[in-house]
Amino acid sequence: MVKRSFYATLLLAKAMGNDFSADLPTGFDADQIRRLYHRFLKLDADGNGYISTDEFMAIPQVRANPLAARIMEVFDRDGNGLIDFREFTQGMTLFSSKAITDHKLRVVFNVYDQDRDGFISNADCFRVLKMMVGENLTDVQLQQVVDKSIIYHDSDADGKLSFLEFKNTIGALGAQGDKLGVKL
Amino acid sequence: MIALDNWLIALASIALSPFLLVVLLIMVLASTGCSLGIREKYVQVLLAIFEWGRIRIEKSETESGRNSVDGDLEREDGGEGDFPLTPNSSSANLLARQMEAHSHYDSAVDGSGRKSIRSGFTLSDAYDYCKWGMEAITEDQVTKSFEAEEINSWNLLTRTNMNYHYISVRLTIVWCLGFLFRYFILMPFRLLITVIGVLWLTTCMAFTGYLPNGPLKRRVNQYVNLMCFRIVSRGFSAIIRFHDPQNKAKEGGICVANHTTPIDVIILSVDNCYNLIGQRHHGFLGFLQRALSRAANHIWFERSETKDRMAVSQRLKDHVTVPHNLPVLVFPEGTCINNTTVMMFKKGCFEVDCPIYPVAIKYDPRFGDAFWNSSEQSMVQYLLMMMTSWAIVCDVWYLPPMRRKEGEDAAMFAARVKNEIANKGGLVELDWDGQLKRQNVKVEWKQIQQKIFSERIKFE
Repeated sequence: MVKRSFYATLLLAKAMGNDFSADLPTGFDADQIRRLYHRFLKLDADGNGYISTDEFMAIPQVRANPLAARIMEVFDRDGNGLIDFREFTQGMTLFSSKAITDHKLRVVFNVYDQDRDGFISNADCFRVLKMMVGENLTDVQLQQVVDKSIIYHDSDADGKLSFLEFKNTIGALGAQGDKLGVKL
Repeated sequence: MIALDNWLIALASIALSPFLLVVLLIMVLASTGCSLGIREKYVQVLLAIFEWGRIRIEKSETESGRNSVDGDLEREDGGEGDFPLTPNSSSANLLARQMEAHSHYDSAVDGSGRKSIRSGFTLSDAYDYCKWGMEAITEDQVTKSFEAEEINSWNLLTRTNMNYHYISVRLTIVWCLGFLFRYFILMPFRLLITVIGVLWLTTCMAFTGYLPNGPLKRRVNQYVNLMCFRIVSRGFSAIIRFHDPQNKAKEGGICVANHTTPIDVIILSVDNCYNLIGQRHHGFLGFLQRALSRAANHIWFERSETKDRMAVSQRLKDHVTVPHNLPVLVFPEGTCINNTTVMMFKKGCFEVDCPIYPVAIKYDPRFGDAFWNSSEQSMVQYLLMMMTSWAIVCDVWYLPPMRRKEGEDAAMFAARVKNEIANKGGLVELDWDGQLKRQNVKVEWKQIQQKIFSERIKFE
């Protein structure tokens, strides 16, 4: 244990040396980054410096979450199937209680927007809803729900939802949004 | 030359005799179950020192302008809609939290005047799942239950240290003194007492084994059990407070307790005699198991047999029906948990038709962490840690006996007993299986989530 924490401090110093805290939308102090790093090390079971899908799914409460795969993909910005510490911190920062509502909504938007084109298409919404529902609704029923949701909120009638249109669906949640979130 | 030898021997005996006298005193006291109250005083002195240490830490932190360290990524009491993640939260169950979340969200929507007329689904439903996902990534209850509990203030042990000993010179000096005291005074004493205790245990058990079966053997076994385990418990300065002794387990019953460490057995055996049940081990534990088996009929399994639950159940049933058999001590969680939570109870022992005597054990983490993290420490490392802690202080509550009700199946009964133990011991109840330490969660959990969500958005 002592050996590992020394090594961890070295890596952390290296990470800090890149001064990536500068490009985090909300500032984390050194203490919080240290704690995040300990958590990262805990999740990185094989110690290769990345969290793979298996290590991510090893958390029981994540594995039981229907949207776990999408959350992992949202974290994994460069799409290489692995989460490094920078991606980890950037992801956590967007959802921390200090982040503004827009950032959190952006995360949820990204969960829907699987093809990362900046819009939630009908297909995007269908895929995510299918994950949340599993086998409990037929595809036909699901398609109906998706169609209705998109049509209702698609104010510019282009058949897909932009971030602004998505924000409008939240409404009341937005008022509470600043207070909700994960505190570090 | 001879004179020098004589001198050395004389010197050695003079130096050692107080040492040996103390050991002898401890053994005599342990055998009779008396106490001079020294350990209680020791605990009070320690608490005073910890308090002083805590004040010093706080003082230096306010001076340097840092916020006081919370100790981990846990969230504080949110109050404005945050869901508390601390182990003391009462609704720790994932499903319960989901119910809470939905009701919270629904009220938020209705409050603004927007009604969900067409369907129960809006795009923001994914927000809840994202949030739970994020919370689990930050900190999840299962991983947390298998790590050592974090304590609020430093107890002057390096193992719980978080750079505290760089705070002030005085604190460092106290820590150094503590270190020397623990490693060079306490540990040799404890080691000696444990070694003597184990040897004495083996000898006594062997002797008892030679007696013919009958009431004499049982009485002798009982006395020998208590005496030997009391001596061994002094081997790590165990200070145990027993509550409600009128509910102690009796013959022909099953005693059920939450599991934190193999030392649980010793803690409970100090006050009452049990028959043990478990896997056959090799090495030191195996040796102990064989020693104990000479005097009383404990139930030891081969590894392959434990997979066959019916065989285990059958042996348990056979055991409790034999008259005059001591109560069996069972740990239904099946693995060591870190003493902040109680995980799922396996229903095997609850299928037997006999009274269940629940026991709640809660260790005080300030004096030493009793949790055995078997994936990180070997048995020897663990024992070393125990012997160099300040003390093992714990509370044991005997709960009134429970029986299975009409129409209640074993799983429900197990859940009911678990609930009682968790409430009494101040532990959080989790429905997760302790085997998650070693395996992955089953697919059903995700499917339950999906089902609940679908119910909500079905509108026809």
